[in-house]
Amino acid sequence: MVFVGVNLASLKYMPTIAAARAETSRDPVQEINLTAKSWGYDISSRQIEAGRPVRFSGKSSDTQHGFAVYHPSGRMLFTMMLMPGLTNPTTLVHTFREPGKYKVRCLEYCGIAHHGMLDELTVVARN
Amino acid sequence: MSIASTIVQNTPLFGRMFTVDKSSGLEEINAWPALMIMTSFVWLAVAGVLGLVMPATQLFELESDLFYTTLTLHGAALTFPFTFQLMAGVGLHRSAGCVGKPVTGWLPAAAYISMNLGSALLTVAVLMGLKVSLVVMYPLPLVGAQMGIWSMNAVILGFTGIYLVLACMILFYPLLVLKMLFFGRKRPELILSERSLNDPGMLGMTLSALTLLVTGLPLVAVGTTLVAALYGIIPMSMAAWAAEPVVFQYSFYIFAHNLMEAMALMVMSAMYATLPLYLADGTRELFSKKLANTALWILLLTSLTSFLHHFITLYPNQPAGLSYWGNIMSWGTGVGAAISIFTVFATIWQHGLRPEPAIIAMLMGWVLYILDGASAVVTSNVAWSYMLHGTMWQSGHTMTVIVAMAIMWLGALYHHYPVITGRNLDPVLGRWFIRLFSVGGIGAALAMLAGGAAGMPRRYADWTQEGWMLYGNLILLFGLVLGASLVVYAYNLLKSREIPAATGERVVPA
Repeated sequence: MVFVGVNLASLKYMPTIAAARAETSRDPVQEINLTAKSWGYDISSRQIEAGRPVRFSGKSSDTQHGFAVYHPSGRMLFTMMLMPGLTNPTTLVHTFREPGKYKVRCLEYCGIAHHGMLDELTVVARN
Repeated sequence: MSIASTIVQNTPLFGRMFTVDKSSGLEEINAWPALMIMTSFVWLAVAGVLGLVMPATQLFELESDLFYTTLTLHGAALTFPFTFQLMAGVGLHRSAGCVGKPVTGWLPAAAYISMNLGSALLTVAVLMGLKVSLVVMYPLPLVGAQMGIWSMNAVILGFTGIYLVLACMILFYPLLVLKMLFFGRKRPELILSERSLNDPGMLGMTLSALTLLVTGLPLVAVGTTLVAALYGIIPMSMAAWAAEPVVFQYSFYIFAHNLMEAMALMVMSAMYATLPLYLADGTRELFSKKLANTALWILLLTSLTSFLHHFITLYPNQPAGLSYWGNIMSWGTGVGAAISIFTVFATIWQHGLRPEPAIIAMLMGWVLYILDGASAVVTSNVAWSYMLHGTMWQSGHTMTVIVAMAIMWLGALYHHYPVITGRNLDPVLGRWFIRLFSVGGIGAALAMLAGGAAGMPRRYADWTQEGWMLYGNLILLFGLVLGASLVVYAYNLLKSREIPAATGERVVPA
């Protein structure tokens, strides 16, 4: 029962489901493109509106990197694996509910300054 | 006298722990396993020192370079030349005694040399600057050289070392096991406890060797191509396909994931073989051989494709359907584990247990293995993977599976030790080892999992960014307890006493 229950319940967290929901939502999806390279990120926009779905599309230009977003309380919201050499970006749709400063960290070990690969997103209240 | 026995006998300190008993006529099944086990303890000592340096770099705010150097070496030494080599040594001794065939010839020598020479070369490469963690993080080695962080010579040396270690795990060791099980003449004087392939204790051994061989072949193809290109044997353009990160990563995890599953199969088979020998009523039978074998087959079939859970967060480059398949198969391994847990408990409930250190250590490893299984199914779930991948949760999972296997094999070694050396271990020290190892292993696992759930990144030099030092201190504390337990175990080996000749009995291992 646990086996079936948990795995059926987790279907709604599948990235395809989140992406489909975003497509059918009344709010237009905010697109954010990012490229990771040792040891930083190029991010198309660091300002996000709360309550509006955001599609993160990420690539890596050198080695393997991560793109993990942390809630201001320190809790991790999600992470994405960015592998170099791929034609398509890694994507994920997420809707931020609360305004605040959200830290970004690389969670794929990428060398001697891995722990310094940090960035920040600002989620602002909706007008 | 075998060359392996001679090396053991002439090795300072560690040689005293494993000097082979030559009076029993079993040197042909004792010598190479003794050398492998002894060398695994040398690497354990190296890993222990490195494990102490890691927190010291943070405590004294040394260069993060040093943290990543020790992180890479500590992880690699514990996983490959310690745990795998310990398993290989004890496992070979067990197989040889079950089928009555010697562990001699070029294959054990090739397995031993490739594992230890490879590990030594990798160590030198890491000291030369190559800091890639124990999972290589390809293409980091090449990118680091391009960025001038380490030299191309370090990359070539490191890749050569990794290639030799893989040659041991994927080719020499499985071929040695399969050769022993299926070929060669049985010698009655070497049989300690005869078993057929239908016995759960032997079936797991066979499935494990086949898993290593089959799932490792893609990585052998990729690794051979890359190493050949690095040495200029073939042009780089011919190795372009193997140098693709996605090709390397998938072939790496098809093997690396199944390496852990193969080691789990091997350790389950050791449990199935050893438990009946410690039953209180002397029946020497499992509750059900059919159930035990079913668990092994389920574990094998589900684990083969569950490696896909490593790439859930790569969506859509790994399609969601494949990720979900990896999720379901990972949970499927839990079905095999549940059946084996039932078999073990039902056997003990039905026949009672003689609580001797060898079997209690194996059962404590079993408990850790179950705890680890629970952490594994959580992180392999498509929903939770997005919140746990890359955190200390996964380090906790990896560390716990290795620690669980280590204590189970140390328990199995406790059982085999009298046959190999002709000496007995002290049961009081044996029980202290189990107590300390259990506290350290379970404590470190829980501290790492809690840190991961709180978002603490793995392979990360700076734990002060979000107050993760609390978890770091707990990991250090329990790590020290774990280390103390191993010191007790080693001390027990050092002060082992000869079995009185008057008993005249042959100690019968699994």
